This record gives sequence, C-alpha cells and structure tokens, in this order.
Amino acid sequence: MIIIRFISLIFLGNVLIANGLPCFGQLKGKVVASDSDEPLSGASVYLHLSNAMAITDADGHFSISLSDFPDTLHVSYIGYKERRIPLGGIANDTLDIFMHPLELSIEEVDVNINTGYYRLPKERMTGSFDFIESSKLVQSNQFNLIDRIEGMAPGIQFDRRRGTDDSDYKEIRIRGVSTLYADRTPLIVLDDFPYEGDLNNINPDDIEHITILKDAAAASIWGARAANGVIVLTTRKGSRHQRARISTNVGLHVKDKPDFHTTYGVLDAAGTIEWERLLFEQGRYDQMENSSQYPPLTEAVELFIRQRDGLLTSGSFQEEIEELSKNNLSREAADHLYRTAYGQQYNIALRGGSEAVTYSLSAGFDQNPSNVMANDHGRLTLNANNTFRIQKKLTLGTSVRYANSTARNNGIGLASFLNSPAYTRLADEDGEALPVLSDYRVNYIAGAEREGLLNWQYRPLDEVGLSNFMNRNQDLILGSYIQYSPVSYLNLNLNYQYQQVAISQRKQYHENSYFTRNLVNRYTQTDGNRVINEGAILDDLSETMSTHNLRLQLNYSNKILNDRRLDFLVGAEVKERISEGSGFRLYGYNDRILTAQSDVDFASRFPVRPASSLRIPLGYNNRLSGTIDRYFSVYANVGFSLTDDLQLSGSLRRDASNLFGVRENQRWTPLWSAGVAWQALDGAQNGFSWVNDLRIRLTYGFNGNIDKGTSAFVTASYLTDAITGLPRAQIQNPGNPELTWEKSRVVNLGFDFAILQRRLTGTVDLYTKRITDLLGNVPVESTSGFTAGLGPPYSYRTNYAAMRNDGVDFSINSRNIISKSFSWETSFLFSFVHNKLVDYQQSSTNPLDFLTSASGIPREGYSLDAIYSIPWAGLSADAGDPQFYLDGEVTNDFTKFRDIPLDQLIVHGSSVPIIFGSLNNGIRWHDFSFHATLTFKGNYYFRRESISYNKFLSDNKGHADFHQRWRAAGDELTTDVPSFPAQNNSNRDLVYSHSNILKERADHIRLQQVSFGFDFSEGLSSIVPGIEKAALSFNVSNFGVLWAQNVKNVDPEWYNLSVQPSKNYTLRLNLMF
Amino acid sequence: MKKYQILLLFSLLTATSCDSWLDIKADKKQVVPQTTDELQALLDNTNFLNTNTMSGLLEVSTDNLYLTEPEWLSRGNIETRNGYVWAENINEGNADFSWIAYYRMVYYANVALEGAKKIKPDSEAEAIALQNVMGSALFFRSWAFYHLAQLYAIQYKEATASSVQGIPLRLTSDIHQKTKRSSLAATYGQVIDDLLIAIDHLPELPIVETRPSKLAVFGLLSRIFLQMGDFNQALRYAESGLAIKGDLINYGEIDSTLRYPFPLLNKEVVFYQTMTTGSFYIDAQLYSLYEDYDYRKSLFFNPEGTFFKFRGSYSNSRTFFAGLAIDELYLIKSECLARLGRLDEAIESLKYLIDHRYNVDAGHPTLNHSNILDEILHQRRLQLVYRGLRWLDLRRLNLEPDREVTLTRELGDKIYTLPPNSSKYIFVIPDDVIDNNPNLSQNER
Repeated sequence: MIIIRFISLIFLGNVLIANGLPCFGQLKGKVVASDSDEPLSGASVYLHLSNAMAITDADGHFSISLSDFPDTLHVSYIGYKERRIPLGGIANDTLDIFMHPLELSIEEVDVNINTGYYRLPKERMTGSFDFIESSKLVQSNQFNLIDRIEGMAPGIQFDRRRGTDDSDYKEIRIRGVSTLYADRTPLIVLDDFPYEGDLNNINPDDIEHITILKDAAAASIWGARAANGVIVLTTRKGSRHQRARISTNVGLHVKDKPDFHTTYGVLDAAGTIEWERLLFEQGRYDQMENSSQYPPLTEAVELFIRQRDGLLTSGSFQEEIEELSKNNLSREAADHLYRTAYGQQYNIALRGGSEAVTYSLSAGFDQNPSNVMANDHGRLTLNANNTFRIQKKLTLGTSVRYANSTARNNGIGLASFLNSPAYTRLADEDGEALPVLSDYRVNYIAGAEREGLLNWQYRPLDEVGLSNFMNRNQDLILGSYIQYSPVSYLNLNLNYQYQQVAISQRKQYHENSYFTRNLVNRYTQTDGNRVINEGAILDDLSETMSTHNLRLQLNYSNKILNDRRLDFLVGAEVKERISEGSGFRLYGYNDRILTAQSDVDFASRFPVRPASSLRIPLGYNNRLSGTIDRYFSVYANVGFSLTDDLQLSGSLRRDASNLFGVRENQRWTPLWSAGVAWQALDGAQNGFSWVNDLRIRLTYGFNGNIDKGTSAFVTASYLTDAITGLPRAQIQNPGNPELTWEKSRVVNLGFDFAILQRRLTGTVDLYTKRITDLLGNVPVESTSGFTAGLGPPYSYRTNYAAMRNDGVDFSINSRNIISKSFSWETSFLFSFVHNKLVDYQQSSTNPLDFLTSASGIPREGYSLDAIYSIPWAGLSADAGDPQFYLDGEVTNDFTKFRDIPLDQLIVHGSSVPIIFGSLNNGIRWHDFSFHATLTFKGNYYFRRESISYNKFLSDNKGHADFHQRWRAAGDELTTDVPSFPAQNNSNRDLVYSHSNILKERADHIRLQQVSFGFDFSEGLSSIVPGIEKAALSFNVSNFGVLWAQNVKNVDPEWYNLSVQPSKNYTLRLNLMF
Repeated sequence: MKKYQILLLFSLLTATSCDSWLDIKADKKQVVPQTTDELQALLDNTNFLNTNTMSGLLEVSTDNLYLTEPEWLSRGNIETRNGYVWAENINEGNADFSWIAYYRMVYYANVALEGAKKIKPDSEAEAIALQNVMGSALFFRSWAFYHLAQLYAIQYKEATASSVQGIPLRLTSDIHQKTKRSSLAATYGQVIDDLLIAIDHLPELPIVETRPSKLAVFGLLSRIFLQMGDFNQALRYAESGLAIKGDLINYGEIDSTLRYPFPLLNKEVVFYQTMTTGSFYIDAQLYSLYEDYDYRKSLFFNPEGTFFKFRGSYSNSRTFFAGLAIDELYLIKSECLARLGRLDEAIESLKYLIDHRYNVDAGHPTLNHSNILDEILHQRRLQLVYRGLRWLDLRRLNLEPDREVTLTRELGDKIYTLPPNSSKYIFVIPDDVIDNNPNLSQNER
C-alpha cells in the first residue's frame, strides 16, 4: 500500500492531465511551492489563447476562465521556474500546480548561496561570495574539479611554483596568503561537511554548483578553519515533484604527445660533448675515474679516457664522437616512452522525486591515461542520495558516496633520466633496449655476471611496465540527517557524517627490475652469499583516516515585527578525526605464492659493493603514524532585514580543539563577523535611467587558522637509542602555554550593480585582511638549551607575527547581444592582491636563504612572495667571470656574495601574480555554442634557468645557454653567460644564477580552454521519443601561452618542468531522458 | 514549550564540559614528558647527554695536539681553527656549539627535574625510578655547569671566588628567562650542593651504563675539589668512589691489533661522555714521553705518515672519550695523598696504576719520595691524554709558579703563544647571549 502511494507520489510531480472531455468554463487550481509545500500567494496565472489572467490568493488558489481549447496555462512566480501546462483535457476540478524553485543556470535568476550551514538567496547575504554553476564547470575538461575553477572566479589563484615533473603540486590561494607556517589550503566543504579526501576523488559531473566564501561574513561561520577561504561543493540531488530522469554522458579524451621542442634550455648532444671535453681536459673526472666507488662516467668521458690511454685511434675516436653527437635523448624518449594518450569517461545518473521522496543515484568512471606509457589514472565514483518525508514535520535524509581512484606509475618519464646526457640512446636500430648511465661505471658492472651477480645494467625500455607501482585512494562517506519542523518557520536538524579515507601506496619492484637487481648485487658478499634474496621487493605504505562529524542545528526563518525578515540559526558540532598509518618493505617477495624473505637483518652493517658498508635499507619499514584531532564548536548566525533596503547579518563561533592545552579557556576562541548590505538604488524607483541596481555591502569579522605542528606543551618524540637500545626522548617543542588560533581580520566593502537595462552587471569587492597572532619563528638564546629544528640560531614558534593582504576583486558580465537565435555574452574577472609582513622578528640574515628559498622567507616590511637577486655587474672583460655589486663596488670575489647585506639585494617584486583574471566569451547561435576562456597573470617575476657549471658533474645535463657563453674578450658586450671556469667554483655559479640578469617578468596571457557545444535535443526527440536533452561538446585545454613578457618566450607557469603539459581534447555526448 | 525544550537541549550540549574529551594527545609520536618513564627517556637521550657533549676546546686549545699549516687552514670548523691559535673571538659571532651543548644538557635536566617534582609514585619500584631521574638530572646539570665554568669563567681561587664572575645558572626550563651570571663561588656552590643531594638519589652503580650513579657523583666531586685545590675533599671522594669500584684494565691483555683497542663502556668507565673534535696528530714532544715498554705507546697511537694519531679512546672510535674513569680516580687519589704528605700511600696508589699500564718486566718508572708528585703528574699527562682534562690541568697547575707552562704554536711564519694564567684561558660568552642581555658582563679575552 505504501509502495503504491510512493510510486503514485513519484509521478504526481508532473501534474498530468488525464484524458477527459473538453471542458470550457472556470478552471480552478492551486499553486504550491514544491520545496516547502507552502501555497504561493500572488503567483500569476495566464491562459495563452483564452487571453485570461489571474493572481493566486493567500491560499494559492486561483480561478480562471477557459474560453479556447486546447490551451496552455502559464504559471509564474518570482524565484520559481515558469511552468507551461498544456490543457488537453481536465479531469479534476482543481489543478495542483507545483512550482520548482529556480536554483541554477537560468539567466537572471538569483542564486541560493550555500555556506555549508545554511542556504540563503544572494540578495539576503551581506558577505562576499563567488558562485560557479555546473554549466560553467563543464566548459573545462580538467580531471580535477578544483582545477576547473581557475579563471572562473575572481580572487582565486593557483600557485604552481613548487610543482615538479612528478607532482602537479599547486597551492590554491583565495585572496592571497594568510599564514606562514600553518595550513595554507582552503577548506573544502562537500555537502555541508569538510572533505578530508583527495580532490581527485570528486567527480566534477556530480557537482551541482560551487560557492566560494571569501570574506568574514561569508566564511566566519567556519571559524578556526576559515582563514584560507572556504570552497563549498554541493552535489546534484533529486528534487521533489520531479519525474525520474536519466542523464548519461560518454566522453573521449585525447592528450597530445608532448612536444619536446618547446622545453626550454635543453643542451644538444654536441654541446654536451664539448662541455665534457672541457671538464675532462681540466682533470675533473680524474677523481671519479680512480674512485673505489666506481661512479658512473658517461659514454663521451669513457671515450676520452680510451683515447688518452691510447686504446682508440684518433680516427675511430672522431667517428664515435660524431656518432654520439647525432643522438637526441628527447627524440628517443618521445619515440619510446611517450604516447598520445586516449582516455574515456562515462557517467550515468538517475534523479527524481515525489511528494515524499527524492532520490539521486549516480555512477561515474573516468580513465585518464598519461602521456608517459604505462602510467594512468582511473576514477570510479558511486553516489546515492535520498530524502524521505516521513511525516509532514519530519524529514530523513541519507547519503552514500564512494570513490576510488587508482594511479599506476609503471612508466618512465624523461624526469627519471636526469643524469643521462643528451646523447643517450634508449634503443638500437632493432628496437632492442640499450643500457644507459646508472650508478656505476660500465667496466665495473660489465663483469657482474661472471662474478655470479645478476646483470647490473639499467635498460629503461625493459623497465616500462615491469614493476607495479600503484597509488590507491579510496573514500567512503556515509551521511544521514533528521530534520524536524514543528512549525513552518522553525526546524531542528541533526546531521551526522562518517568519512573514511584510505590511501595506499604500493610499489612492487619486479625481480628483474634494475632497482631489485642493484640492491641484490650490492649486498652480495664476497663469498657469493646473498644478504638480500633474489625476488621482488615490495614497499607498501597505507594510511587511513576516519572522521566523525555530528551537528545539531536549529534554524528559524520568519517575518517578525511588521514584515521584517529574521533568519536565525544556532548549532553545535563535534568532530573527531583519527588517522593511522603504517608501512613495510619485503625483500625476496613472491606475489604468486605470497612469500617473502624472513631472515632480513636490518641491524647489522654489511660490506657492500663496490666499497663501504651499509645496513639493509628499511624502505617503508617502521613508518608509523597516528594522530587524533578533536574539535568542539558552537556557532550562531543571524540575518535581519531592518527595512526593505537594509540587510544586517552577524555570526559567532567558538572552537575548541585538543591541540591546545595548559589553559583550558584559551581553547575557546570566539570568531565573529558582522555585516550590512544596503540597496542604494533599486531598479524600480530611481531617478537614474542607466543605473538599474546598486547594492553596497560592508562586512567586518574574524576567521581562524591552526598549525597542527605546534603544541602548547613541551613535547618530545621517541627514538631508539643507538648506544643503549632503550627508548630515548628528544624535545621537539619547548611548550607554548599561550598558543592560540591565528586570527584573520577581514574588512570587505562590496558593490553589486546592474546598469544599461541590466545588460551590464557586476561586482566590485575591496578588502583588507590583517592576520594577527600569526605563528612565526622567534630565535631563542643559546643559553635556553632548546635545539630542535633548524639552527643555530634555534627558534620556536609562537603567535606573534602579523601580515596583511590588500586586494580588489572585480567581475563584470555583459550581455552584448541577446536574441532568440543568437547571443553573445562576455565576462571579465580581474583581481589584485598583495601581501606584506607587518611584524616579524626574522631569524635569518643570510642572503643565500632569501635567494634560494622556493616558497618565500618572511621578512618584516616585505611580501612573503618577494623575489630577491644579486645586483649584476656584467661579465668581466678579462675572463668572462660574473661580477656583482657589493657596497657599490663591482666585484667578482664570489665568496663575498654571502656577505651582501640584505638591503643590497634587489627585491624585484612578487613571485606570485599580483594581478590576475580572465576574459570569458560565450556565443550561442541556434543550437551551437562556443566558449573561450583567456586567463592573464601579471606583475610578477620568475627566475629563468641558465647555466650552472658546477652542477654538470652531478647531472650531465648542462644548459643550452652553454653555446652563448663568454669565450673571448669582447663577448661580454653581447652575452651575459659566464665563461667556462678555469676551476670549479660553486659560488661563481650561484652568483650568476641568483643575479637579477636572470630575473624575468612572468606576465603572460594564456588561452585556458575552448569549448564547442551542439544541442540537438529537438531534432533527436522527434526521432527518439522520451529524449529530453541531447548535446555534444568538444573541449580543448592546455593551449600554452599566447603572450609572455619575458624575452626568451618561456612559459613562466611551467618553466621548471622538463615536459610541458600538452593539449588535451575531450569529446562528450550528453543525453537525458 | 517545545522551543524551550530544544533550547535546553542545546545549552546542555554546549555547557557539558568536554575538556577531558579534548585532552587527548593529537599526535601519538609526540609525547608530553610527564611520567617517570618518559622523563627517564629524556635523560637516556645519549645523543644530547653523553655523546659529543664535551667541548672540543678542552683539547684543541692545549698542548696535546698538533696540526700542520695546510691542515689547520683546511679546517672548516671555526672553533677548531680559532681555538688552536687562541683567537680572541673563537666563533666570530657564529653559534657557540660548546655553550649550546652544555646548556642543552642543563635544559633536559631541568625539564626532567620539574617533571619529577610533580609525580607521586604509585609503587616502590616507581619511587626508585623517580629517585634515579632526580639524581641523574642533578648530576647532568652539575656536569654541564662545572665544565662551562672551566671554559667561560676564571680558574677557581678560594680567596677571590665570591668576587669574580661565574657562569649563568639556569635552574628552570623556561626558555624565556633572562640570563644573569652568578659569582664563581655560587657556581661551584650550586654544583657541589646539587651533587651532594644527588648522592642520596642514585644507585652505587648505574642500572644502564650511560646513566649517572653514586660512583659518577664521587668521581665528579673529586675532580671538582682537585680543581679547587681542596685535596682533603678530593681524596675523600676519590676513595669513596674507588671503594665502589676499583678495577683497572690490564693493558697487557688488550688486543693491540684492533683498530680501536678499547671496548666501548669498558670496566674502567665511570661516566660516559665524548667530545666533538676532528682528528689531530699528537704533539711530537708528548709522544716522545711514552717509553717503549709502556703499553700505551702502541695501544694509544697509530702511525700516520711521520705523525701519530690517537686510537686509545674508551669510546671505541675516533671520538675522544671525555667522561670519568677509574684511572682518573687513582691519579686524583695519588696526587692528593702526595700533596697531603702521605707519600708512601701515594706511591702505592700510583704503582697500582703503573702495574696495569707498563710491561713491568721490560721496564717501569721508579718511584720515590722525592719524585712522586712529579711522577704522578707525568702519569696523569700520559694516561689522561685526550680526555678533556689537559685544559683543566693547565688552568690549575699554572697557579703553581714552578709548574707554569707557556704554550706556543707555529703556523707558517706566525707564532702564537698562550702565557700562563692568560685571560685567553677564559672564552667569551656567545654574542647572542650578550645581545639579549645587554647588562651581562662579557669576559675580557
């Protein structure tokens, strides 16, 4: 019985017209909001052919005269989707018409902002938000959801300075940087609770919209985790009174083979050989040649040695050298290790709802191979989300989310050949794998097999796909809530969520892999005894995190005191996050019968080949970790309309955590905000004809941040003592009874405007953030005896420093042309943000720290991102030595550069863009659409790579600038590249590489992405009944830079990578029925 | 009504103290040292409390060792380079690792002492363990204070001790406290008082060999009183120590083919400490003092080219052992007996040592009433070489006019000298300490 009712309820949503006799006369009905079941009073009802109109009364009822038949009934109400109901016949006397609230993607619709604690229409908010709807997210084809928001919202930037070939690490900054040592990542909220898993595990197709909370009024409800900004993700769900819809899409990705010609600074084979010859003539390889460790020597150097020793005639020497110079490692790698990658993606979802139930089921699968052969990344996501209205006052919701992403890294990228010179060959004419430079000299490993050792050569092509390296990342989220609404304006929510994240990193080195053979050989004793058995080596590191969240919240929303609107909520939540990790390494592992070497002696030192004695490497053994974070928070938020034009808001939150001790009361730090919004001009009633709307917002408040590495107590970590074998404790933290949250005070002044008949709408936000109680390092006196961390001088962390970020976010949308068949819209986003340390007791006065730091060293009065360099004074005319200024004098006394006072270093500006933004254009013509996003970054600098003569001996790589080096007097007028030095001098290289001559403006414009769409819903639905939507889209990303300010035309975003990201194409078919 | 019930529920939820729920440790690897075991683990940190703790200056600035000019120039360690030529500011404004290492020992001891005072032991066994923690902490702190005084304060003379500067005495773990120097009398007073308390807390012999013991306290007290010239007290504590353990290794039984002949933590070791230094050649004149029938000549030294290097460390490595050992107690006992005029006993005591060091059948020094004190000091030089004691002996023996020595170094054409009782026997307080405490008086050097 209940089931029947359920099913009938499901289908009731689509107000259906049963067969019946035509009926002229009065048509009666009731208009009801589908989300609240409240009758809608004042809705307009209109009959098209009958040309009749009515307005619903206080109970939502209407009555309208039907004079023409058949006719279409139009029902509209502000904030709800307009409905058109064809009247084929009337079965009932009264029609129940359910109106669906407008949430998304419909033009000119105010959006409901979701903060994770509450949802309110934008016009009732005072804070600063960005809202990105799903239709924008699909314009990008990035695998990672968060990557898709680049260029979509002002104030958000991606700092990729620390990215490497192996990791696309990026720091997401929302309105600058708010901390020095604490967590810098924004809080990611997925369906009301902080998301603890990997962002790669979120399927962008499951996301309905993204809200970014930027100022205090927006974010301070998140209290102590809000200082870096909050990104709120809302997943797609079923709506009530909506018929069941199946939505599917199928996609194909193609990723171009990388273009190695664009890699900056690669030195060719001939140049590499010339460089090695110069080093050889200086005797720089003599020590390596005679070392008992048999360090590897490159092919060219081996040839030089043989020629010197008379083992090679000069004719055949020349021949061999010429042969080598023809090789090209990049070309070989492109041929043998890289590919054009083809990937695929599938999504299917079923969503719908009835009076009492909503449901959403979805599954997604995304296979994303890498350009490196044998590397790929796959993601599987499953979601189920249901709500049940058990009684009129009681709603129950449940959700299950599972995601599993697996990355296989069994290939070999160019980055793993860092020590192979440019003339390295990977395969011979027949395609057979060739050995390349490994850890030992060729003549040393050549005899390995004769001595009963395993083959000791490293042949990269044989390694591809041989071992099995897999990173697996699994998420499970179970959630449920109960909502009780005793009266329409009040509800009580109890919300619980459990998240489990399991990360495992498993590396199975095949028994024939070089890694395994090398270890086995090294530890084979002189009597032939193998300390490490043959067989695979298995490394396994796993970590699980489980999080419980429980929230109790009371919401009140009603009109009081003459129609003034009051929205009020108060709540409390507890959170516990437990993480545990462990790892192991097995030697002699056999994965067929699951056995491993059991007698591994990790304690003793063994003589190893070629020389020295070592313990057996531990791998991941003894890698244990365990943390527990607990939070307890209470919070409240209030919004109040003082008049129709004036909106007030306030929030208050107190957080307590187990990270603070000693003084209980300091655990409780209140963070609050207040805001006001004033509708200065309203379209309806103003005298300015060209300004339709102007709204001014002003907010003030505090957000917090935390560093888990700092403790209020004296803490120590345990190790095992080498002499006694007993546990020994080492003090890590001197204790800090005053430890507290970092506090970010945000003032935001915002303007929302609409002008020229709302053709132009936009928002300007001016803000200043002042972060106080910032954890900073304070040097300790050496008498204190505290010596943990880097030093001397040793330092400890305490809340004392201060910094500020000032900025502007600006966005404007222009509807250039709007017509039925053609439309063109443009949006322009622009942001400016600049940070500065206001109070910092710096512990470093060493210029080298500032010159070499990758992510900035705090210095009072300067930006954390400041980029420093040595004042360059050109090359010396006599020897082509780099020169610099010290105390106003030109010098080439290289050791002295370490004595340059900090104030003589050149501070160029920021290494992170100070201005950035995007230009988006969208064009629609009939069923075709086109979107393009240009992004720009400006007013920042980067350090261009150039030659480092000293580094060559360790990487055999060099730099293409070698060809431009100073060779003879006079060259200093045309080049800045220092001469080949008469003797090794690392300081000489450091002076050049950190001088301002290599600092470049990094400003650039990039074509971020382009997408084409074709909507053939109408055409298809006439052929295939039931099809509601059918669309094809084609996206392209990674076009590279369109314009870059630096003279060498280097892409400043990726210049540090040996392989530049290649173009990525996605073709998608989307069907909904 | 319902509304009030909900509000009540809320206030209950929020008012209920969850402080104990929030007291849990966030990172399992991070320990807040509170229990007896945890405090003991702090004091078992041999990395900071036993090894590389003794200042290299105690040897580098003495006449035990020798560097050629190119070697001296190539030394990266400025403490070694400058200490070798008694430069004015050894560390040139950089960190003073000698200071840091001793005060780190003080810091660990203070954290342990403060923790121990808060513990009420649950059992007899824990009470004993707690006693050991307190006694050990007092001992480590005294060890550090005493050796700091040998580097950063003037040699002790009873008449002037209360009017000259000692060292800063840090008695709490608060890293923010201001640094003040005490008088030299107060420095020695603190050390001796703490050691007298420690006697009652510690077992006669250590439970774990790297930990302090009653024997170690007696050894340190006798070393201190000898330095102060109080021979009665020095004798008393040396004898108390030897009553607990008086065995010497017979050097004739040591395998000289081993690279480092003496085992780690051998039976002569009373308290284990090592010193941070590079490697050095032994001063040629000093080497010539070892007779061929002295086992030490071959057990202690290895030829390296035309020079010799020390291999006789009780650390069984290149690192110098610089702790307390039984042989030192015999030498203190002998010297005190001789200085107190008990010459026969002095001869007997020294002879015991000689019997264990010489191939007596091949030859040995002859001892008589007229040479006994000289021979004791001679044996002290030979036996306690590279133990960190030469610097202390130079300071105290320079007070006796007929035992004064002037040290000289020749590097290229430059000659450096260290006259007896020079102000260069006192090192300067590190610059960062002076910067932080402008009123602190710096040593004139």
